[in-house]
Amino acid sequence: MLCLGAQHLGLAGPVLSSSASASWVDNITHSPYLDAAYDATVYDVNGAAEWHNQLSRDVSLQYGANAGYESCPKYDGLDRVLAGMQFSVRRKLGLGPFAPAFRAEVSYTGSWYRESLRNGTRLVASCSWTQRWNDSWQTILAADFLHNDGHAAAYDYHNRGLSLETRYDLTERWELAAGAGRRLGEQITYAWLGGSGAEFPYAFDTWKNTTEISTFGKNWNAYTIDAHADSVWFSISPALGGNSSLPLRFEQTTVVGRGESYHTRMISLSFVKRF
Amino acid sequence: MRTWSTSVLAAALLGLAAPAAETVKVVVRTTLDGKPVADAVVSATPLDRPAPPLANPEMVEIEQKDQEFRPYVTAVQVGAKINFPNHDTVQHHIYSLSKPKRFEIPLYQTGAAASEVFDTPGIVTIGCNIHDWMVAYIVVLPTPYFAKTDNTGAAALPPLPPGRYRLEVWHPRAPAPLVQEITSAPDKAAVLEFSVALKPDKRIRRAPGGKPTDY
Repeated sequence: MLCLGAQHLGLAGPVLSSSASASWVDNITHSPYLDAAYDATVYDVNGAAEWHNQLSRDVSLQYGANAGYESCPKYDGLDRVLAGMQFSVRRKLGLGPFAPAFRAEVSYTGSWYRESLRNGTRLVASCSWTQRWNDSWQTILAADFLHNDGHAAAYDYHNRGLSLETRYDLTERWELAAGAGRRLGEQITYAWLGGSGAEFPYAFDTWKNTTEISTFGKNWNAYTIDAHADSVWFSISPALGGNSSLPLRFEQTTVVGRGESYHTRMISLSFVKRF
Repeated sequence: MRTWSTSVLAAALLGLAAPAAETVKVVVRTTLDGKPVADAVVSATPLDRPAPPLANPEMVEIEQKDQEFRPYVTAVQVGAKINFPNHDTVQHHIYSLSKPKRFEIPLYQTGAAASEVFDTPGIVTIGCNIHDWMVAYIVVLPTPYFAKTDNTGAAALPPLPPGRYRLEVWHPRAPAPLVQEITSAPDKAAVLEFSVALKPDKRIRRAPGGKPTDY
């Protein structure tokens, strides 16, 4: 099978895509304390090239590269350039749109922040199962393992997640999606030690990998906690023709662990274009 | 079946009997607002004698271009061969699960092409196993007398020798085909007008979706 596939490698051109988003986050500091929960808007642009090579009737390889830039005018330490690559194997169990598909993917992304402490690489290994029930309904069950290897200790963390998303196409133009997921493992968060209410002895007993940062001002620390993060999201996505869309997404995440909990809410509007 | 209704504009010419003509033009419009319906296949099958077999078969082509099939609807006579060239820079994998013709063709290289013979009458729905939104229809007919409506909703059948015919109009979004018997007479012309209540154009969405962010 691999020999059969090898002769096809590189023959099909890449599919190019790009996106631009504006995202407002109510607690970009991931803080349990209201007076330290800062909001911000993040803008990003991304471009990607992906190759798809069908190896046999059921199995295909996809590989690609992407690059992007994110800007947070309010906290410019979060500005970053990122570049990554992905590799996935997809097996579709049968013919047609209603055949279930299984995908295993590995992605590796490097990030270079204005605040260089945050620089690092991220490895994500994931698998997903997609089932289309009819022309309108589709369900995606996904699991992943994430490892972030950062320059500073606080940005060394790993966790794993499980999510379920269902999509419904109201029409060929309008798509609704809703999902929920849980991440287990280390979560990165921040504390303002100049009045956040955190009790230092307790905090430093339970926080891990504390790193002083300057992103949000003086006396801020980044640290990791062992926690679980529950997310729910909803999106509505109008298609702008066959190759572009304008998804509006709302997501809320609740992180609970080691005696701390915090919420983040995010609203993002994106423009996605496939060439 | 009340979904389809017909009116014979040429009734005055042809009398009260079913329309008879050597040349028949059909116009298809929507019931709701009278808009012209493109891609409806109109066919006339002789009832008094066997239909002439396929003569001088031309190679019909359904290309894959811009990750769509072109044309969306193709009508052929039984025995016709259809060529499927991949004119995209991405791979395609054509398949049909339809009873009259089950097949699959991997077209993994740009410029690759393959053909299939369609030897059983019926509707064949084709798709691409890589790009789920791609769909097209092949109407395999037991008669050489057929045509497809254009953007004005009009289709002109080839000249019909005198005799009785089963006239059928099919469209992908019509709940059922309309069937009517007509009689063709020499040196006559008729215009038949049909109205149809089309189902919504429900296809698998092609546009990309959004992705989560890190925040």
